[in-house]
Order: sequence, then structure tokens, then C-alpha cells
Amino acid sequence: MLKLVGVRKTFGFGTLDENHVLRGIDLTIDAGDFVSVIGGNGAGKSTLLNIISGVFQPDVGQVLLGDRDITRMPEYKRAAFFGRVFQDPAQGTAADMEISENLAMASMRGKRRGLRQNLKKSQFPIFRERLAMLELGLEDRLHQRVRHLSGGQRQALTLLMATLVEPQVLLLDEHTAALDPKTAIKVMEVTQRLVSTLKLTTLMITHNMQQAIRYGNRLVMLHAGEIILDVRDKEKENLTVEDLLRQFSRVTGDEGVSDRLLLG
Amino acid sequence: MSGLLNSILAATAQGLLWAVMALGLYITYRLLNFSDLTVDGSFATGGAITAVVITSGGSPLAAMGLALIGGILAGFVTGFLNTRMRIPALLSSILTQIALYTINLRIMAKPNIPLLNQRTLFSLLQDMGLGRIGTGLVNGLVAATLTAVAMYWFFGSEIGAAIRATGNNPAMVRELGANTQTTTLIGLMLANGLVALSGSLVSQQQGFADVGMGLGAIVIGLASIIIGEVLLPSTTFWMRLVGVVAGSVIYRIVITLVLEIPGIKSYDLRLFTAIIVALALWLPQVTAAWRQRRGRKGQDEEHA
Ligand SMILES: Nc1ncnc2c1ncn2[C@@H]1O[C@H](COP(=O)(O)OP(=O)(O)OP(=O)(O)O)[C@@H](O)[C@H]1O
Ligand SMILES: [Mg+2]
Repeated sequence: MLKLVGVRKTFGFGTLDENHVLRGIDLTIDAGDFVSVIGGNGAGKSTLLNIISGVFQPDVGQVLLGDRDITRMPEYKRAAFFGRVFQDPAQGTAADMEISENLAMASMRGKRRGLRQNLKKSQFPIFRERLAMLELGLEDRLHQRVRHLSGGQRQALTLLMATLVEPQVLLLDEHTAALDPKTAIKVMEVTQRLVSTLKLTTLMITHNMQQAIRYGNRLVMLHAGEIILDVRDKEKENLTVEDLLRQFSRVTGDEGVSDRLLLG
Repeated sequence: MSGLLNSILAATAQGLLWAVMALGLYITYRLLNFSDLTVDGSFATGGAITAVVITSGGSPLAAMGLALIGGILAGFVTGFLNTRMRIPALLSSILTQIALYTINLRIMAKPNIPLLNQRTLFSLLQDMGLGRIGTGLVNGLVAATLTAVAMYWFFGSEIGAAIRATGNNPAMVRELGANTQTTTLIGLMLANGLVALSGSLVSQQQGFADVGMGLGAIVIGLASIIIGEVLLPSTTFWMRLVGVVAGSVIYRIVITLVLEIPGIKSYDLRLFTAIIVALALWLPQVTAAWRQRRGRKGQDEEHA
């Protein structure tokens, strides 16, 4: 359903800082896949996600969604296809607007905005029902401004906003990394609940190998702009952190990787 | 004493007419988070268009409509410079402001056009027997109320919400599929349309248009917004709009009272305004620091 073909991206081409970030990525994500992506700092994970969502365009290669070529489509036009959540809880919501106003805007994802009122009373029951799925008590706080929410609450709200209009692919970029461990687990549970209830196709970047092994039916490892591991289903279920580390040093010939991959 | 009361009422009328400008500035300064200096030019554009239309026999309403369009075009130019040519906000708006000085002179063909003995929105009401001050109050109240109501409705709409969110978090707005270049452009156009409309009203009320009439408008608008926020630190959008209007009126009343002080000349006002705005911009930091200190002290006492 989502297909990357020979995608390359270089930043600062022709300058001293020339940086080949993606060096020929071929990746096909099937409908219903939940793909975890791991890799060290600067491996190109975020760049990969930004090329899918249209923040950047690849230098070479194609991005295909279904049988549509969206390689050159601007970011705001792809909003209809993708829901995104980033690491920074401040990035996904408008702080000075109410929870209800944020959700109402998200309900217009990828649609034509007009002069109808943004807040529609008829949507409130849906908002409450979805907020209740978070089990954070936000369903009783519809008219509170997002500024007053904690980082974890904001991140959970962003997840709802990313899935309110069902996206073809949900894109998560280390969306639990800025949270304390307890909250991170909570947000991850919410993610799993939403993904399985709505049967969403999902791409999740994470630094946490346990998380990558535990969630999803497929695991992709990225290193220096190339995919060095892509396992799924049965094979993935039997994976351990040690396997991942061994695989990583085999490909890179690097023995001291565990720290960089784990802590990096 | 009735002299002073009269000047306060006159100041109230003026504050209401200038409030339309302050509401326009509120769109860029607070909602879009865009430092828009176009205002000084587009305010005069409103006056210039109005004077030319009225002296050539056009109706006051036609003059105001054209002034509104002139302001919208000015906002479009700033928005184009910023969103399409990628020139930073402050610089884009300064460029438009400078360009408008020439354009305003071209519209008027001279630096000043008197509107005495012309048919204006104000002379119409005065002919119906309302006094000069009464006319100003009625016109000001109607204009400020209509503007605030229209803004309340528009910024509650789907497009309006996207514009507000653009000032808050442009990355999110793009992520939700709205073009932030477009939302910025629409916001700037509406804002400067209102600013020019205010210039039109003010020129009709004072009986002339002058190429320099917008000088310092931005600072006056900021003063109004900040006075409103300090006095009415409210949460709902409607009350914030009311705060801007109240701030504009209070600013004018304070200015009137200051002018009553012996030895103060009218040209001292700009310095005075700049000082007010500087202090008002500083105030939130002071109160935050004060609150923090009080919080610390309170906790010390609890633990003592
Ligand atoms: N807009 C940009 N301009 C120039 N260089 C960039 C840009 N974005 C990313 N890079 C560079 O591309 C490389 C890969 O960055 P990317 O953000 O994709 O890594 P990542 O795998 O997400 O790393 P992390 O785990 O630290 O988030 C880095 O060296 C980074 O400096
Ligand atoms: Mg990253």
C-alpha cells in the first residue's frame, strides 16, 4: 500500500557538509502492517518519515501510495493520507486553543475548510467517546486549553487527532521518547489500543529495542541510510535484543554498538 | 467640569473609532503572531482613499468600502512578500509601509485633503441633529461592535480556527492539511482591511486626511491591546475582543487627561505612548517574577 522505491536524500549537496542521509531505500508496507523502525542517531529514520509525509522530497526515487505517485505532492495535501505524532508533545497541538477546538480541527484533516463554525455540537459525543479511550479523564475537560495538559496527556491527545479521520498510514516518530517511563508505557498502550481498534497501518520509529520487539508485526533496522534488517511475523516474534545487537555488529563490523544503539 | 466631561466623551468616541484598527492589529499581533508594521501605511491608505472618493462626490459608504479593499490589498502585498518571496515578517511589512507612503501620496496627489463641508458618515448624522460628540459615539460604537462581532464569528469558523492555530503552531496546521501560506495571507489581508477602515472613519471624523496620519498607529494599537489584556485578563475570545476595544478607549482617555496637565504639548504624546507601551510590555515579566517570589516565600513559611 505504501511503497518507497530507490529513495535517496542528500543534505547540503555540493557543500563541505554534504551528508548522504538516505542511500537507496526500498520499502513496501502492506495494509495492516505495524512496522517498528530502529537505528542509531542520524541513521536517517526521521528523514525517511519526513519524505513519506512530504516535509522533504527525495533527490532520487519515488513514494507511492496505493497506485498513486505522491513523490512531489506538497506536505499539506498529503494530510488526508497520514496522521503523524512527533517526539515533542508541543508539536502536535495548538496550546492556546481548547481540547475541543483542537479535535474539531483534526476532524477536518485533509478536507476543504469553509465558513461553517469549527466547533460542531454534533461532534462532541464522538470527541468524548474517543477521549474516554485514553482513560485519562480528558472527556470531562473538553473546554480546557491544551496549554494546561501534561506532556503525556498532550501526546495522547495528538494520537487521537492523528487518527480522528482515519489515516491510511499512521506515522510515529519517537512519540514516547520525551515522556517519563511510566507515562511512556501508558501512551504506548493507548497507541496499541487505537491501532488495533481502528486496524491502522502504522510506521513507528523508536530508540527503544524492547518497544520495537514488543509492538508491531514487523521490524526494520536502519543504519547509515540503508535498511540492514527487515523481519516480520513469526521471525520477528522470536527476536531478542541480543539478536538485534548481533545482527547490527555483523552488518557494520562494529563491536561496541550496543551503547550507541541503546542509549544513542 | 463639563468641559472635562466633554473631552472624555470625545476621547471615548475617538477610542471606539481607533478600536477598529486595534482589532485589526490584534489579528496579526496576537492571533497570527506576525509583527506587522504595514499598519502605519494602511491606516493612511484608508484615509487617503476616503478623502479622494468623498471630495470627488462619492458616497461615504462607497469610500469606506474602497478603503477596506485598499487595506486588504496592502495586507496582500505584505503577505506575498513574506509567504511567496520568503522575506521575514518584520521586513516584509516595513517594505510595504514605505511603499505605501508613495502610493498614498499618489492617491491624494497632495499631502493633505480637507473634508470640511463634505458629505461624510459624520455630517449625515449631524444633520439629523446629533451633536459632534454624539455622532462620534454612535458611529464608533456601531463600527467597533460590528467589527468585534464579525471577528468573533469568523475566527470561530473552520478557516478562522486554522488562522488562529497558524499563530500557535504552524507545523500542526500543515500536518492537518491547511496551507499556512494561505492562512497567513488571509489573516494579513483581513487585518489591514480593518486598519484601513479605521483610517477611513478617523479621517471622516477629524475632517481631513493626511499622509502622515498613520504614523505611530502600530504603537497605539499595541498600547490598546496590552491595556486591554492587563485590565481584562480574561479567557474567552469574546472578552479578549472586548478588552481590545476597552483598551483603545482607555488609551484615548488617558491621553486626554495627560494633555490637561499644564506644560504638556501635543507633540509630547508619542514619547508618552512609547513609554506606556514599554512599561505595559514589561509588566507581565514583573508580575511573573513577583508571583514566583511570593510562591517561594509562601512555601518557606509553610516549612518554617
Ligand atoms: N533539514 C536538514 N538539513 C540538513 N541536514 C539534516 C536535515 N535533517 C536531518 N539532517 C541530517 O540528516 C541526518 C539524519 O537525520 P535524521 O533526523 O533522519 O536521523 P534519525 O535517524 O532520526 O536520528 P535520531 O535518532 O537522532 O532522531 C543527520 O546527520 C542530520 O544532521
Ligand atoms: Mg529522529
